[in-house]
Amino acid sequence: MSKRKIPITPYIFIAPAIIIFLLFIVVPAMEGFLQSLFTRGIIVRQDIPALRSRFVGLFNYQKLVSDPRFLTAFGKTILFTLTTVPSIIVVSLSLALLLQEKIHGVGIARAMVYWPSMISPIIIGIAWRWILGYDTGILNYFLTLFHIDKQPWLIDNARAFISVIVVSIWAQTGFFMVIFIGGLNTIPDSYYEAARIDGANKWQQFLGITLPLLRPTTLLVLVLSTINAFKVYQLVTVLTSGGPGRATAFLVQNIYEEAFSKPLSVGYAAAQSVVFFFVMLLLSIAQFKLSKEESV
Amino acid sequence: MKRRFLLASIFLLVVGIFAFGQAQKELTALWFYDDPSELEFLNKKAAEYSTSHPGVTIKVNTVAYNDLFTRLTQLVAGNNPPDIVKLTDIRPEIEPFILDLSKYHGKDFLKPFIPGVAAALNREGRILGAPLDVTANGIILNKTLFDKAGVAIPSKEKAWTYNEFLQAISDVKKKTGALYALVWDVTPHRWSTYLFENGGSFYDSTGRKSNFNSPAAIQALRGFADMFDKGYIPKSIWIGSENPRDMFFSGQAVAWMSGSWQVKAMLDNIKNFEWTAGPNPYVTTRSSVLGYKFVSAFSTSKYPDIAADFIKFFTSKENNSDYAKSLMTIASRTDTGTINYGNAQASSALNNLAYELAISPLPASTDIANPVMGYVWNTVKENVIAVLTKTKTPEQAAAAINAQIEDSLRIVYGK
Amino acid sequence: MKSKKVLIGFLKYLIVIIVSVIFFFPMLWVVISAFKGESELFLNPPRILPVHFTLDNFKSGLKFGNFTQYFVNSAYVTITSTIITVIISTMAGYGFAKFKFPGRDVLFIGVMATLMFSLEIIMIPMFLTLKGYGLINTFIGIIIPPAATPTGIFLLRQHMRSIPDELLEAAKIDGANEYQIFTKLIVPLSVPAISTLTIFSFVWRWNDYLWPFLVINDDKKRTVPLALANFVGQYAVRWGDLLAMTTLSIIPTLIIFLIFQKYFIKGISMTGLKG
Repeated sequence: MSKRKIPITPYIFIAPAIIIFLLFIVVPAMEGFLQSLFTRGIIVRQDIPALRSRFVGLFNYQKLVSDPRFLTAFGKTILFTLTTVPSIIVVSLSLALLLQEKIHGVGIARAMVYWPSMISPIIIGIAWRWILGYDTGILNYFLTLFHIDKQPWLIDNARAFISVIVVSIWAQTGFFMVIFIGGLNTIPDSYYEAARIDGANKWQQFLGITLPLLRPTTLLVLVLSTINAFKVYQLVTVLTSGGPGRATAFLVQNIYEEAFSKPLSVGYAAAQSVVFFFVMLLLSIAQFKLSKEESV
Repeated sequence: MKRRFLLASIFLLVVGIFAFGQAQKELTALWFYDDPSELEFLNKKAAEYSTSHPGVTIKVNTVAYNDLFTRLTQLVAGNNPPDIVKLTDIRPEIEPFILDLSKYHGKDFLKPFIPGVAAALNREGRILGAPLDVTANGIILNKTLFDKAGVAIPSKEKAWTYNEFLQAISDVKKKTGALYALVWDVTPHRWSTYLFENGGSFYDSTGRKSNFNSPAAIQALRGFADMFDKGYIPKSIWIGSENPRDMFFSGQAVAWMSGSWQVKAMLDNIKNFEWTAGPNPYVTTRSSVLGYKFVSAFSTSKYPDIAADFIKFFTSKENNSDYAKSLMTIASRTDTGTINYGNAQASSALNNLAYELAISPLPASTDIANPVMGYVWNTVKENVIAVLTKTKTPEQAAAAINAQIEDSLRIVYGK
Repeated sequence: MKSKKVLIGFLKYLIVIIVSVIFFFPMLWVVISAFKGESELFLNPPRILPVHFTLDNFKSGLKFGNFTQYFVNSAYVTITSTIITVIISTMAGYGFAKFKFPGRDVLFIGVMATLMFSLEIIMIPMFLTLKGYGLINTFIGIIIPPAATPTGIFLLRQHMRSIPDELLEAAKIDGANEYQIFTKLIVPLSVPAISTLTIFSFVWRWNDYLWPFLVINDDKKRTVPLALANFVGQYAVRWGDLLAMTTLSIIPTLIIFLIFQKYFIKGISMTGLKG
């Protein structure tokens, strides 16, 4: 029994998932990376002049560094992420705490909060686009009942940006609330008992017990909501089409448009995708390192 | 002995399947539509064709209009293009794969069709499709509101300038309490009506050079924004996402810049007021804008002769007339005669708009048909909106659109 | 003193109600509006209840192409994919949670890293890859690829890490082989996490739009989200039909949620012991 055997069992268990990832993520990703080194359209036929592809090395990457459209979309995506993520964390944690209490009907309330997470972003976009209509939207109607002016939610740049943020939070809070509830459930009641006996009030209990023990959960919520914010596409395009103008045109929309609305731009779009991927990867790694947790 | 028997039966089986497979010829048609009646019509014609051509089936696959180009390029890239497809334009990426119908139906195949569209589908002698129907942009008016306000609508011969028009609809709005004077479809194609009405155009007469950076275009951009600023057109449609069609249908708009394709939907949905179409207002030039849809075949088809034949069948004089009648659109053939749409309101509206189209300047047809247009439309829309939101001046917007046209021409036609 | 407590309790209750309304109302609005005629949908100012209650939207929406067929397709794809997801995530979660082997951490990070991909950005290479595998226009093409979800694997792993190793040791001493440990010990202890993943996966697959868009060409193989997109025409959105069919398409997820919510709303248990 002196030789250390490498167990084959774990590999068998993880194999199906890993194979699918290899076949359906890694392979296309590498193909995408390859495409970023070319100037090409969607269809490539070397025998037809309009459809040829040309090897350009890192030219596409040089181009995007100074492309105002790309940089603006990038900036907007970052702004969107920086506002949405903390809001989601605060709102979903608050709701998790609030709806933990034994208030009558709290189960139904939780179900209602989670409900939007079950609906496709396309449907959410459609519904809210309609609700936020200037003259015909129900939200402005309610505002007028309280003698508040109708707001140009989707017409004015700033308000459209805010609308997109709010709807995004609305759509995701339920999911993260449920994750927080799970995390809260792992904190033994005895800790709170002990603190109460020691004279700590609710707020002190929250700061001293809840927050620290919730760290792994909070980290998970942070990473997932950041990734979601960066990847946002369907919700926004259905809600505003990236508008008004380009006010809410984020990265993924830019990439998609680049690939499909411009001739011979697929390679360039691929380059943007590669950059997009690495930025998110670095961001996630940074978030993990910053939390000083040793294991996920 | 057993082995030989096995081999023989496999051989016969394969031959049998092969022969049977050969007898069944299936073609796929990729189609988009607005009104479900079009799908019914298409399926009916496909069934008719199968009956008269035993062994041939036409399978219809549908796609949402906005996804048409994405789906098509995917299919072509996947070596799986349809045999027949309904299109609104032929992008340079797709063009190499489109079947030249002149090889099957002769050089004069497009003669019976409206000249503007026929010219659009004839690329240096190659015939790339058969026109299905033709649309004309134009102003649609809530006649009931005009009558209530006692304001007259000019005859189609006289028409009205924009000043006269805007004055008239303001009057109507004030006197009837309507909510919106003018609503305008949120597409660059509809905006381009205003471009042509100002005497501008996208390309020069060769179609290979941009004509956009002109005083007329700049004035068109400025004048359009003015109509919003002065409150004639609500900002919520072009800048927000609200839909002018819904506003007109609910009876709250006096006038609507849209086009002939709305006639059927209006007949089906508008029950409590009367409407009419035209005459289009103008700044310097009376104009409508041509729109068209056509059906093409792919040269990669396994049965190009059948595909070409079906196209000829579908756009025959009789079928084309039926198509126009059931969809309430303007027929693409000139030999169908005046079509009786079975409804006075519809007939008058469609005839008025056809008249507007007939007296439009040539670029209003040929520019739209330019192969490069597919890459230009988005830029036009973005820049029109930029002028509306005051993010750009009309001069800057015109320059940006001009640049996009020139870039696209360069990419497609080379230096 | 007591009245302060009552006041706070009342305020909390009020907030709970307001929150519930905020999250519930928009979808309720969609459902109510599905029963309005098309001309009522854009009134200025809007009206909440229908003036003329009508089922027309539902009738025309269902007629417009084969909506029943699409529901069947969606159900088939969603259920099959969910089953596969649960199986492979449970297996992979176990492998990552309870074993030490070379490359474990690297592989796990790699799996998590796939979260960074969104289908939109690798759409074109993905399409070419799927075409290479011959999966275009097949149901397998929309069942298998999305079945491997990093979130699912993470969830199961997290849950299983808190299953005490002593239990596994005890089972081994009793002579159980790996397969038996997995099926008779691990899986039963992981039911809460599996239920959670089932709900997540069902919802994700039911709502998938881009995958079927990429893969399916035939009208007959369409799934519900794709069919909803057909209500957006070249010139106009058929709002009435769209709202009605949207309402119908929400129902299955609602049913699944109601069935499984007992396991799930209590919270995603992070431990194998509690809950």
